[in-house]
Amino acid sequence: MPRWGMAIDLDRCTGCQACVVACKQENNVPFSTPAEAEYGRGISWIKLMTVTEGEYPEVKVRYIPMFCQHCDHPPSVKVCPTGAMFKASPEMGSTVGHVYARCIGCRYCANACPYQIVYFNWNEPSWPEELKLSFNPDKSIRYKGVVEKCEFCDHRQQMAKDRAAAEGRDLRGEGDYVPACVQSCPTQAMVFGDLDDPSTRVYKLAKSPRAYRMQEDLGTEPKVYYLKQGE
Amino acid sequence: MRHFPLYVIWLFLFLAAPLLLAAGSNGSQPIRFNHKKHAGEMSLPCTTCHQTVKEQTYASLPQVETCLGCHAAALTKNPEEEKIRQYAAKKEKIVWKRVYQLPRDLFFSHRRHVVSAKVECVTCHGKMVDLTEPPTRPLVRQSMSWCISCHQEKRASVDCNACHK
Repeated sequence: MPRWGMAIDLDRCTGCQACVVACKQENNVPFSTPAEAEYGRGISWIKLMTVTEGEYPEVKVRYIPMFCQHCDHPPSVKVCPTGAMFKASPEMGSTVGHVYARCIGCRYCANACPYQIVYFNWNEPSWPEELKLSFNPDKSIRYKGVVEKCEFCDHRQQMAKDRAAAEGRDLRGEGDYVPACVQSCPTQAMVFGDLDDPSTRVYKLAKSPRAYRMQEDLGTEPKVYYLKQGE
Repeated sequence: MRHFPLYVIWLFLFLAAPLLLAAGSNGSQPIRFNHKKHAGEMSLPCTTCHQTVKEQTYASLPQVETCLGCHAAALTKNPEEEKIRQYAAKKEKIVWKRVYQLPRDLFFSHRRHVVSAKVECVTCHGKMVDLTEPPTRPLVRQSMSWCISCHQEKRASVDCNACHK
């Protein structure tokens, strides 16, 4: 039973944002208008945090891809009054998922999440007419008044499980499915797989001395590992 | 025109209701397919016409070529059968009306249920073999609690993300 997790080598990340675009396309994430974005109401399941260090001419910019950390003890799930935000069983990968049909839009989860990666649909999502042809049919389209966030491309896991079942085997810890962001990363900075399987790359990277997790002191036990940048 | 009496519209709808309902039900499928004849009396397996059940997530509705496999020449004097060859002559597709609409936020795989879990078609689709007319609505009311009860019985996953996407 896989426990899906990710390791991101920040030394390899060039800040190209291919993952951001891939995620938006894969998950039918709506666009927002400039006016809405000014309110901070834009939706981007994965975003690139930039940290600028030093002063000109000795400036260094660090890039950190930021998305749902799929905590083992997710605060967002604890506060959800309807059970819309849930933690999947080990059988389904222990990820943190969200059922839109159950969401009442209270945004407790958005406030409880220490990583600020739960987004609320303030408006009925809209797309330019041409882009409606490129919707991903494997992913539902959300509506006004529900929250949404990264789900480690759960729909891909569903299809991978379907394929594996047809071949009469269990889902492998690595190689059967990757989220869209991992697939699109040109420098292969992102590695996805089973954190409990010692043969996977992500297992080895998570054990690396460079590995750290976001706000580890909170005890949320995130399943996304970042590998520190060298100087 | 501004003061067009609204009750006239209501009266019309009330009187025409039986006609409108009839138009919406039995005549809705392009061909009045007889399941009893095919699957019952001839005992053809469902996959003869719904061909992708065992390979894909969806079951697929038969196209002209599938029908012509048997109906290239007339087998009966039924005018409904003749329609197939008319479709073929006009090189048109048969636009079947879907009876089952999967909600957009659900993942469902026929292959998984039929091949891996060995669920019979009749479990979810009811006794289609007894129908002489095309069904206008699902024979079995498929609700979430109905899915869950079977999943629990067969020890399949009842995780939200096993089905919701």
